[in-house]
Amino acid sequence: MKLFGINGNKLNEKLAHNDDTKARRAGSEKKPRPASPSVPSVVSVAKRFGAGAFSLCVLFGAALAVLWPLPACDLPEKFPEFTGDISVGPFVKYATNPILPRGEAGAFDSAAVAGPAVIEEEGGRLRMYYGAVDAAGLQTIGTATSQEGLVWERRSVGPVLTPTAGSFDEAGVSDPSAIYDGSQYWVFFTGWDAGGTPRIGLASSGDGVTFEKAPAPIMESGGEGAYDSAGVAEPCAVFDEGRSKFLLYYTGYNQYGQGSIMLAVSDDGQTWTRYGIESGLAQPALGPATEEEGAFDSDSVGGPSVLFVTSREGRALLRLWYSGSQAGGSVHVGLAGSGGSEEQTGGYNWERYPANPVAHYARSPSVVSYGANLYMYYNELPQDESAGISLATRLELSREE
Amino acid sequence: MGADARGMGNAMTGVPAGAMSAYYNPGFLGFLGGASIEAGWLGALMDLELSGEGYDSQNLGGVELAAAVPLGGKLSFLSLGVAAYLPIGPAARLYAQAPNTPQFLLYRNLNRFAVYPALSVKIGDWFAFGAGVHVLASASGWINFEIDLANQSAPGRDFMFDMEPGFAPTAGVAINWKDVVTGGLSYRGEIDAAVEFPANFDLGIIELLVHGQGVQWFTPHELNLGAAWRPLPPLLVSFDLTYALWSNAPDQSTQVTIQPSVLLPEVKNPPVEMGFSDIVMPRLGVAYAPIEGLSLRTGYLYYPTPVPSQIHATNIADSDRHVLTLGAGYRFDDPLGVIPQGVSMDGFFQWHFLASRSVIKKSLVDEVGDYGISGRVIAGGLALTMHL
Repeated sequence: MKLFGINGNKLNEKLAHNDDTKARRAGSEKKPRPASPSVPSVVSVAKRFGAGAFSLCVLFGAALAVLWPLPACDLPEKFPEFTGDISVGPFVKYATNPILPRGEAGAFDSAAVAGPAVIEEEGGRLRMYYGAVDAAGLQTIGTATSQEGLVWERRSVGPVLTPTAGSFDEAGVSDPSAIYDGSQYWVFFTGWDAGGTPRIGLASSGDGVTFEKAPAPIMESGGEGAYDSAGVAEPCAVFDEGRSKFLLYYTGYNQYGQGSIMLAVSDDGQTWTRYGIESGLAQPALGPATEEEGAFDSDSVGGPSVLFVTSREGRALLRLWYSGSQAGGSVHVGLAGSGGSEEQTGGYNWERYPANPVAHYARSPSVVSYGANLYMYYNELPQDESAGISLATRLELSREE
Repeated sequence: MGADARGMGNAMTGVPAGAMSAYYNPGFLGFLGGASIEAGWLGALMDLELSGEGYDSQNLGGVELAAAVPLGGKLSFLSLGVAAYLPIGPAARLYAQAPNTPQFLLYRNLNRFAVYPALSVKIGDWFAFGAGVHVLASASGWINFEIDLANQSAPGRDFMFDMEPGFAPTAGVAINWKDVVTGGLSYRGEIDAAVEFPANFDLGIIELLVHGQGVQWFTPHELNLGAAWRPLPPLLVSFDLTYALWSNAPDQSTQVTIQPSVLLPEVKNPPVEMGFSDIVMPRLGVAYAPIEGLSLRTGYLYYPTPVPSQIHATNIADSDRHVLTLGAGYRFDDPLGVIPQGVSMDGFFQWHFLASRSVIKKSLVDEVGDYGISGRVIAGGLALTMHL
């Protein structure tokens, strides 16, 4: 600009000087006039053309320079994958299992710990009830607590539930299932009589440790020919808020010892009615997968663990994890899903997960929703309960965890 | 294509769009007022969500170039035009995921190099027709690896990869009655970008023939009908209808077949049926010139989704899209006098709104589960056109 200014001034001076010279040569008496503004000086050329074109280019160029990288800077190398339904899919076994080993020698749980049931108490603390066996083979139920689900502190002074002489559970108690309603603990369990027939009993507690047992079982074996004619065991009780009813899933054994998962419903948790009765017989909510050749659970299913979940779109759903086995085969944990209380058959009609099993060589699952993850407590096979209670999670835990 | 067109809701099938007519309706190249060159930049920021979780989509950015010229002399009835999009970054990205993975498939691989050359023939004062091609890159190749496991070496490492152009026709007819009423019909052919990659891995004890192929990007046959009316000299109203044959859409993922040379089972994943539907898209555009040289534009377009409800295994996320557009342009004399018919500068802004859509899975144990689809896309751009 300075160069233009200097040159322009000089040119103007020169033009004015020329005009003056011409006027004097003509002998004109007129006063010398200044350079006409209509004459295009270099300055005006610059102002009118150069500056206009220059600023146009600068403007467009600057806009491009600023805007160009805006979208390009966000080109991902790989599109992230949307996290699927956390409640569907395989579990990852925890690296340092078991998280609850057998108790020390002489303890009530020194021979085995099995059949866990985990609930979340107020304040986020987890409480586990588990079947315990001492060195003499006595089956009782113990409890342990944990703040984060990995390190458990057992109540080592003794079991919280023991057999009652002369009762339906005189030979042992096992397979607990717990509900905590904010003030009261309800523990459903398998009670074994002296003849080895399992029935389902109920005990309640205000503190989760001192229980009072109902004197009679809440669920007896079914009649002759029923799917649960040989015994009922491994209860899993949940409260269905949509229906305002308790649901009790349990393993029913038929006369051949084959297990099916049955369902009973109750308004008060004490009086139960079998669900799905056809031709006078309660039908299984989930029976062995006899129609599917080679299925891992084609012979027997049992040990249910049921959880209410809500889909991202607000749909109430139920998840059922269960133990399943082939004839002569090992036991694995499978998954099935059902509609919630909004559907008439919700909780009764179950759809198996096609990619079952979700945990290999595992049995007696208890699944609890914890944070953004699902924790499954189970017994690892083939060590089974002698090794202790293990943990598997849907999302792999980081090293820090 | 084109900042002025985008400001008018892309309702340009029945409107002369200058050099960009090579894309919208080649027939309108026959009604060029003169030669023109256009250069523009555009960008689009995508904010797509699955159940409220942000989905890191591929934003768009690129440069549009277009040129058109009516021939003179004995060929004055002919006009030529070409429009091109040059993406910022890779010339094309062909990225594919398995169809059961949740993905905004129709918003992917859009940032690609594309060229639309076209020729138009004008017959009389009011009728013209044109035709051209849509050129897009495709790719194929092969790998032949010999791997010596015993010596831990790879003596054979043959590799070949071809970028091959794919072509699809474009055509259009245009009528222009005294610049008051115009209309047109245009067609853009279906085109896809496919990759084929046979690979042979000779491991000595076993030979694996791995064949990967798939269509990673697809646009359907499109038939566009448009009309425009200028009730007052400064006011232009245009309306378009597009029929898009999305029912032809293939599985846009990679199909892999692995054939071992020994008695091992063959691994194969055949393409899945996408079940897309044909759609009809309406578009409306309005332009108003309050003063000479200035043009204010607005428009609306509705893009119904061709994707069926994803209740089964596939998870192609999409929903009906509403698009509001704004634009402005100013045409002025070239202060340098180099460009005889002047220069115009245009800008546009588009707001795309994806209506919320809920996917409720039929299976009660679907690994993905239920989810909601929503999103927004904001696009904008500038263009400079020199009217020669």
